[in-house]
Amino acid sequence: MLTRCRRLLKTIGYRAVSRIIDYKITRYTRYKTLDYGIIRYGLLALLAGLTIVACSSGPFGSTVSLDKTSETTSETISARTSKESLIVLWDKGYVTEEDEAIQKVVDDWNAQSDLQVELSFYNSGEIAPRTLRFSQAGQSPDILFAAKSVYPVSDWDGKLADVSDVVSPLLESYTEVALRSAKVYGSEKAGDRYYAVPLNQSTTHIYYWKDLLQEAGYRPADIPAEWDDFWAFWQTVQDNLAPAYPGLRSIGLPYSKNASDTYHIFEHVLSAYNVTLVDAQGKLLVDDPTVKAGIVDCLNWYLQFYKAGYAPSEAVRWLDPENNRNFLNRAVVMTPNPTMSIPAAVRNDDAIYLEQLGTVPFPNKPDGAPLPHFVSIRQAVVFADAPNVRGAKDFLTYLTQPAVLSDFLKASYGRYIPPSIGHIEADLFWQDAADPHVSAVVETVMAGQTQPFQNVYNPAYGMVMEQNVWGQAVYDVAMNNMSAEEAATAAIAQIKSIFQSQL
Amino acid sequence: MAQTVDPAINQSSGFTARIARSFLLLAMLSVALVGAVAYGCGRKALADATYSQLNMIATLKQKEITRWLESCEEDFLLIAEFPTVTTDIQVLFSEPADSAVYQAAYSRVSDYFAEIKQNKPKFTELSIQNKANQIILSTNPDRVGTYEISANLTVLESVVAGENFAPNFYVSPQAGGPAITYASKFFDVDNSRQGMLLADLNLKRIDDIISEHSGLAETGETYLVGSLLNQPAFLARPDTLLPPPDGPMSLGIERAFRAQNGEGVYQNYAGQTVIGVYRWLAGQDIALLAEIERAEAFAPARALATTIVVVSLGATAILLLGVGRLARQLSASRQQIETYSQQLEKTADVANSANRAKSEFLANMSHELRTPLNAILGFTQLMRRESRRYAFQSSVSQSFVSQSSAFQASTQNEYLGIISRSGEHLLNLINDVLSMSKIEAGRTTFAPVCFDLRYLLLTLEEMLRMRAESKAIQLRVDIDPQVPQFIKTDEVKLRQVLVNLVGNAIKFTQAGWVKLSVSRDAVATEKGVEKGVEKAAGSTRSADVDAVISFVVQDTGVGIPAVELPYLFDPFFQSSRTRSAQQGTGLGLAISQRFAGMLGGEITVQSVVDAGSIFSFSIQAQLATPEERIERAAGEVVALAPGQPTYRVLVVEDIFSARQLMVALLSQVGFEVQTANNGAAAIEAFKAWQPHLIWMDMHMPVMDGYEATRQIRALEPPTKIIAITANVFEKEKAAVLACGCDDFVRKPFETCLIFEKMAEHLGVQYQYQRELSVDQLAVVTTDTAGERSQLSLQPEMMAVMPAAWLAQCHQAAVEVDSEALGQLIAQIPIEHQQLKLSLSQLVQDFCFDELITLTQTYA
Repeated sequence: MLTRCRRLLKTIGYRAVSRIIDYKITRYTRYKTLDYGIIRYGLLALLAGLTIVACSSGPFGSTVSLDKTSETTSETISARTSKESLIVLWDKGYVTEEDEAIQKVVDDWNAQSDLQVELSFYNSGEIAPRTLRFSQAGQSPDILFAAKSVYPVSDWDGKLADVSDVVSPLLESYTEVALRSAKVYGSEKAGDRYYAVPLNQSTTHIYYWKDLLQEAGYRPADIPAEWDDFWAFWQTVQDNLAPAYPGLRSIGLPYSKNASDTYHIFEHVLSAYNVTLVDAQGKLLVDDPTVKAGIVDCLNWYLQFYKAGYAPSEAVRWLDPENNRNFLNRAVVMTPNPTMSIPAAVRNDDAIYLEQLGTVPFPNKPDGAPLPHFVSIRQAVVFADAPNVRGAKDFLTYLTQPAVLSDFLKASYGRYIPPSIGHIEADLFWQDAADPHVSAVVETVMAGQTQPFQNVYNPAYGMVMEQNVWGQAVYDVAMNNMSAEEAATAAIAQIKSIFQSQL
Repeated sequence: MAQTVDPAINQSSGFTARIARSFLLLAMLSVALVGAVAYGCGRKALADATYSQLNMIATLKQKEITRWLESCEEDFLLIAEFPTVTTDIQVLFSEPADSAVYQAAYSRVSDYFAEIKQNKPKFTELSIQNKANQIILSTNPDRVGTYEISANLTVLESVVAGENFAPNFYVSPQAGGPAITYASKFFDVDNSRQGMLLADLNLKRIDDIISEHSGLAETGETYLVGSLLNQPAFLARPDTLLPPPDGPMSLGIERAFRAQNGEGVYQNYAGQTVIGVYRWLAGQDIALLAEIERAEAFAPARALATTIVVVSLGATAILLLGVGRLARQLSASRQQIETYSQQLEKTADVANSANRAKSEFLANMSHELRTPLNAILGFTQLMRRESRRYAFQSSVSQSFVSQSSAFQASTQNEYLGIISRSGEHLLNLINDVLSMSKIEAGRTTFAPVCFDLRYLLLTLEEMLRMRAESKAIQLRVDIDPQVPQFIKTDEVKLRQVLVNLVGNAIKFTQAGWVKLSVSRDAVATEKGVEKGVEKAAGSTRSADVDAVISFVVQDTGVGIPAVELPYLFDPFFQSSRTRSAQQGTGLGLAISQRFAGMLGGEITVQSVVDAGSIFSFSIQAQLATPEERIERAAGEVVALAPGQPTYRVLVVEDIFSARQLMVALLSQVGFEVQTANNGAAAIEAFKAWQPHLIWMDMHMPVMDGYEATRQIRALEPPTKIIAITANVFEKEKAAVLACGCDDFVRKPFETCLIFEKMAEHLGVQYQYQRELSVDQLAVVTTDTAGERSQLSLQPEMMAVMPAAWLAQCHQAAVEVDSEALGQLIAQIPIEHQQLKLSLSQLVQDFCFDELITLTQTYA
């Protein structure tokens, strides 16, 4: 039977199958004393074996390929091992002078140290995630200074070096808020250790154009100190200016989900209305119905300016620099800003800096009490797996010397003020009453009208800020036709979810 | 015929289908395997090729990007450092805006920038920013007077190698998409920064570089993904300038963002499964991806596999046709073989039926021969009876016997003897043929009866002694004392076997002796053997065996050549000795062997030519119970016993001779007999005469015995009906009994059987000519062979008669007074019939000397 088949096949010329059958015949004749069943099962086993061999030799599915990708074809850019230089990543300044200031510090350091610092700038929105990517790839820099929050904290956990020895000389002089903020990283660890070095502090103040105010028929002294009057005042300013500047908006509040300014400012609004989400013990209070009601009220209050046309319609798309840009380009009359980047930008123009630009603190709360300003403490961190941890700490110790740090902050055109009351008091630069902007901020700080952000009480709240929960809620009400109640419900759910996942 | 073909077709189509199925399965398996392997190998090869292609493209694109960025830097720095431009820009920073110098410089720089923008499309906008970050001159007039945030600027002081240069991507507030703005600082003589030259890069060019001339197929694409707002975002895709809600994300992007370079198959940002190569451009902090949809990349492999499968399937189809043809041929030859075997079966059937027909014919023929022969023998018997009676009566009634009449009677007797012997020989031949036919037709059955073995042997010896003595051969019968007297087996068959063997021995022995030895073997030790023998012989007997009896027939005859021994028992085999003797049918030994088988044994033979032969066999028999030991050897009936009613007997028989024989037989004894020559006549006779018993022939014209019996059974009074039939088959007996007959006698019959049956059914009692007791058997000479009676009277036998009678008898013999002797013999009581007959014979034969000797002691 087999031989006949083989002959038939050969005549057709189907050699491959013929060869298989040849093979079968060979097997058959060789093992013809065996049971045919054995041969048959043997053949099946052979086929199965061939299939397995064939399958295993080639990518037959994405799963196999993906495994291959992760195991064989993906290569990580080689880890840093060089100790010859200190890699320092720095937040790109809002003004060129900031970059020049840190560059000067580096130059000075390089001039007197064998360990040369390589300084790189990245813009504030990208620097933290980018550094994290590098760190994950084994390419950790030695030092990172990022203006924006670097969250989630858990991502950095275990990656940061203990910099307590750098911080300890500063303990006496630094403000309590600054020190507490410096403990956000590694907060799960022993209480007296520090994993970040505070380099400055800043508060959110409100900047406005005096000349425009004047055109509206007001003087700076006319700006009310009480909450409702204050905001009504700016609406009147727009109303007054509208004939001359039809496109001008008086209230430069951000309504975007991508700007950190949005949550900085909204936190102030919540605080003004006494809505407390995290108590001093770090406990989340969002289940309190009054808290939710407060959030709803605040959202409604915040959105009223946008809806009434007192805030720019494009404010829903603003990124952090955009309120600066819009304000500097005089598209808005006033805007709150978490740093003094706006005065710093025009510092070289005395007419503007001294005459036209004005800075005021937040007005009193609706209940008449003073509104404490939230303080942002920006910190430098050292990576534990970097090749030059010691050198990095040395550099930071050098940088945090009062003289060096003060010169650095001053050279940055005072966008930030020192994190130490002592330093402020010791240097006339910060006490200069002629500087209308620095003095305004310093006055608030010296008066103690400040408070730390909630992440100091509970690091999980950092994620609320990082995910811009308030920015999203504001944006949803402004753009997504969501009611304040719905946005508040969603925000509370998101906050609770964050707290649960971070616990 | 059609009935036999249909299943064959079904069977053959089933066979073809089975082969085709197996082949298809195997072929499909092979096709699937070849297709799968080809596809797998093709995919692997294509994947490798695709990876290398994608890697090459990625490398090229990476280099193009860095080269392009480098050229942008170079061009930008060239602009910034162009001497006249530098001078003019310094004027713009130092002189008041309304001065003529300022205006002139402004105009020149503006023109220059416009020209550059025209010639260098890589720059979309060129601006000059003063130290208060305000733009004072721009190719875009709208920008003049606005502020630029330096956070978005990429400050260049010298050309940095493209791989290490990290441009600062930012989201353009104007376009909403990613943007790069180069900045170059201007310092005054005091090295104080006065302002900056800004140039916005045309990222569309990067997109062109990345996406154009990729060399990839339709679905292939290369793209850059950067991180904007902490989310992955396309850097250079005009159609997707605004990143999707969560940014583009895929395994490749994710890995690249973890600073890994690699390749793999994964789902791209749009959910398509792609083969991709991803690169992390560390300097630019962007991911470069080159991808092609897997479906398209593997399309050639699929096409190849499809082609292979289609071609294979086509080939399979052709093969299937071939296999189908092959299978049909196989099936046809199978069918042919089946047809042959069917034909063979039919032929065998025909042969069997022909054989059966032959046997039937032989049986019928034999029967037809037997019927007339029966009449001949019957009448011969009757005539001899008559003759004996006549001789006896005449010797008794007449004192004078003429010499001539004595001679006449003796001659007549001799002739009758010849007729009888020839008839019997003929009957034997016919019987042999009939037996063989019956055996071959499978109709011979084992019919055990209880009988006297010693009597059988005795009569056998008597029968054959004459023959032996005629040839001057000594015949000896040795019976072991252990041999039981009464046994139960097929007497007829045993007798036939013995007669044949001993007869043969006598026939082929010219001088010397013939000896029959009978012994009894131990049953217990033979049990196993018996069963084996029984099985081998195909015996129908039950297994209860009480005795194994061995028979050995030894002679000193011519012997049998060794070459003939194997064929000795074959039917119609004529050995050389037989051929020379020209006697017999050649069936004797064949029949004997078969009968011996039925009796539970097997005839074995040893022979030496010219020295003699030994035939031996054993039979298995049951011992007869005392009740079964019936006296078998009854004397000849001469008359009805006195004091009985007159029995009316109706003989129904169509053949005249047979009818006459019965009438003669019955009326002689004293029955009142009427006849009828067919069934209808019988019914009439029954009605008119009401016989006690009817002898009914079953096969008659007009109305046969079956119908007549049935009708008579319906009438009164009840009567006994005994069937007489020439049919030799057992099944006939059942049919006969079923129709209402009380009993059954086969033709040809022994006369004693007729009387026995009548005694059984009517309770008739007879007067016998002689009566033999078992004890007397040794001295009784029978007339079985039809020869003249040779009475071997012993003197002791005469003791039963009174001494006076004996003395008278002696005296009469001395005086040769046959009349006195006749009177004296007539006084012998009926119980001593044998003695009476023997003495009569002596007188008849004029053996007065012997009579004197017998009676001498009492004289």
